[in-house]
Amino acid sequence: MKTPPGVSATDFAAALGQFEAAVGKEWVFTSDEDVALYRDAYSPFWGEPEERVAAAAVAPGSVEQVQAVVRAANRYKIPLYPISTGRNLGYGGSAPNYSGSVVLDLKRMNRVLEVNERSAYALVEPGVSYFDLYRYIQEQGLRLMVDVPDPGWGGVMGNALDRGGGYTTHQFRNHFDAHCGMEIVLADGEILRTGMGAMPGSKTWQQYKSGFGPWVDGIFSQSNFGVVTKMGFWLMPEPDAYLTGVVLVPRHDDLIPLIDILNYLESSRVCQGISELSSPVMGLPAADDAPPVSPELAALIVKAVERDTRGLDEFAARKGRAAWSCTLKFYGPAKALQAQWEFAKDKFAQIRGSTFVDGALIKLPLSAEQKEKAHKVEFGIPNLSIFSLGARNANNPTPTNGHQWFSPIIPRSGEDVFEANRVFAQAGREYGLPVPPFSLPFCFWERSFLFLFGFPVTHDVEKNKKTRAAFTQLVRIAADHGWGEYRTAPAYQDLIMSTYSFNNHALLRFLERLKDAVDPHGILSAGRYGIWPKHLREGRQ
Amino acid sequence: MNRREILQGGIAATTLSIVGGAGWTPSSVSGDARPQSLPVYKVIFDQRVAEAREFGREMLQLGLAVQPIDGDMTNLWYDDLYPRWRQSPVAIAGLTAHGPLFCLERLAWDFGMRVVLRTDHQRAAKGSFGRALTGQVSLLQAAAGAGLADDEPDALISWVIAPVTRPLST
Repeated sequence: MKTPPGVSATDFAAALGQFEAAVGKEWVFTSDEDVALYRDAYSPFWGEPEERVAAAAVAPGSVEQVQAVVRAANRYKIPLYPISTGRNLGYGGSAPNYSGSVVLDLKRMNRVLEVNERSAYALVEPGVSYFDLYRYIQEQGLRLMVDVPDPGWGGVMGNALDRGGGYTTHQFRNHFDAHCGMEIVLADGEILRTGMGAMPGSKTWQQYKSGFGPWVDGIFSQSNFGVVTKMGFWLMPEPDAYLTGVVLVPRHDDLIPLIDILNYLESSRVCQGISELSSPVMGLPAADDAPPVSPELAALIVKAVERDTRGLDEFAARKGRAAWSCTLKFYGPAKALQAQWEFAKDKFAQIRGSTFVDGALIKLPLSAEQKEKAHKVEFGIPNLSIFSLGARNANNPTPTNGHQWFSPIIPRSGEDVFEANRVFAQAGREYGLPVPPFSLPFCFWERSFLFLFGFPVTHDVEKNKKTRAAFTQLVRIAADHGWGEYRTAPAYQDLIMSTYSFNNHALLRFLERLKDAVDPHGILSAGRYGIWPKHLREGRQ
Repeated sequence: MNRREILQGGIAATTLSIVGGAGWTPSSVSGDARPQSLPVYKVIFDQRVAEAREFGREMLQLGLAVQPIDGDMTNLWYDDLYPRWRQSPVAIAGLTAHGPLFCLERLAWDFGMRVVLRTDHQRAAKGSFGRALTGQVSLLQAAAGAGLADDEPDALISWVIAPVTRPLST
């Protein structure tokens, strides 16, 4: 059995005894076999000394038990690492930032405490997965939609606290933004409720977000200031219908007006779903089984990235392929959706040569057959189908163990998409980094684009070393251009926090002051998102 | 290794597990955790792959309940395994790609189950397969006797997930 760093074997044994007294002997895990289940399956340090691993795990079944565990941990200065379901693969999974921590596994706290159909909200415990909440809503016959990530086996609360996202409308697919009210066990065991929950007997904890005074919810996301034990979420009333429409534009530089119009339509809520950009001429996004890009096209793409687009435009015209397409997605009343799509077409028609493809209007609720055929996440149906991808094929001869995502946020404009591609392509050439010839941005978040480069995670130490070096290089290059990551695996959290360095790292220094004040022994999630307690900071900066 | 051999390997691994019963120790929990002796509830196969389809037919002929998947195990999990495991954990076996097993293994952990036997079949040159077997030593020896080699890694995996009893920590 591993012992937390700086903790004597005697103290650790005493703490484990108190954990057992609090939660029951069967819910304290110390054997190597049990603790190994908390390894991060996608760790970029898999099998290396730097891999972050737990010393033990404890699984409380109630808020009172969480309080008891936290108090015991404080007494013996045991580092804890709370997880909800621990399935945020690619972002750390259930492994701690700080090796030797005791995982505070909240999976047993898996009650859906309330779902209110009339007011369209849910209140859940940490161990409630998207499958659990979806099942509850289906079994109760409620006309509500859960916005789910892909894959959907993770925790509703954990994904939101990690600031993950989904696939339906603006208001719901930013999962942290969709929350309303929290309950938190602080490092000293005290319980705090945020928003309207701060008022005893409040009738609106899940209906009004900010309560009175400073709205502190944000500091409990991507952080380590408390253990969130309840969280409310606004849910989408099941819409009447869903509609898609596709706009195609002929020239490479048409991306600029295309995105400007898209921004207008999204910011005006004319279209609400997650828009998808693609490039028919470049064959992007490329399917696993897509034929290889011809040398002619590859050369034209390189030139276009360097802003010489004539060749690619001529190629597109010759082949009869659009330069870009954008799929818009609409949720709402059927009659309104048709009108909204017509309005969108009128706007895009300003781009010379634009054409349109009308999608089929789908009335909700979906039939069982429709559910099978649908892109499930767009209808709030959790699934694990993503794990059936990545099978061995001609373009993917050695499937990997998963991915870590380099995910900078860039401005939502065509010019910035071109500039980011130019910068990353140049970095790829200069440093031999695995940068794709052209990367499409994603529209997950409002008002900004997300770039996503998936780096394979393997169990090959040498390959993982190279990947980490490339990842690190790209983070620095992105930061030099003002593009920051929105989320990352523990292995890179210090690195990325170091890029948020305005005014001599004022943000991090403020967070450290908060940490020292609310968790003076530094027992909660040491190092999470770069926030280390005082006794572990020395020598790191 | 040809198609017939991978089929035989999958069947041998699975049926060994089924008849083996108590006394296994899963490779991933090789300490004191002890699998309980329970019947196999379902045998799962990836119907995208010819060898797995043939495996499914063979297991059906052995009188086992079989369940095809097309690589995605979501419906199997949501409609069948989750409700069944909520009642009580029961063993499952299969011949699938890595992805479905990866999911099923992790979901099974929450019900006190582990992968207790796993055979990796690697697609080698010209579409043939090699194998690598992991599990308890005694079971590996039995598997070797059944014609299972342990020389190469995976593309298809035959596996068994079964309940284990876990010794308390102290």
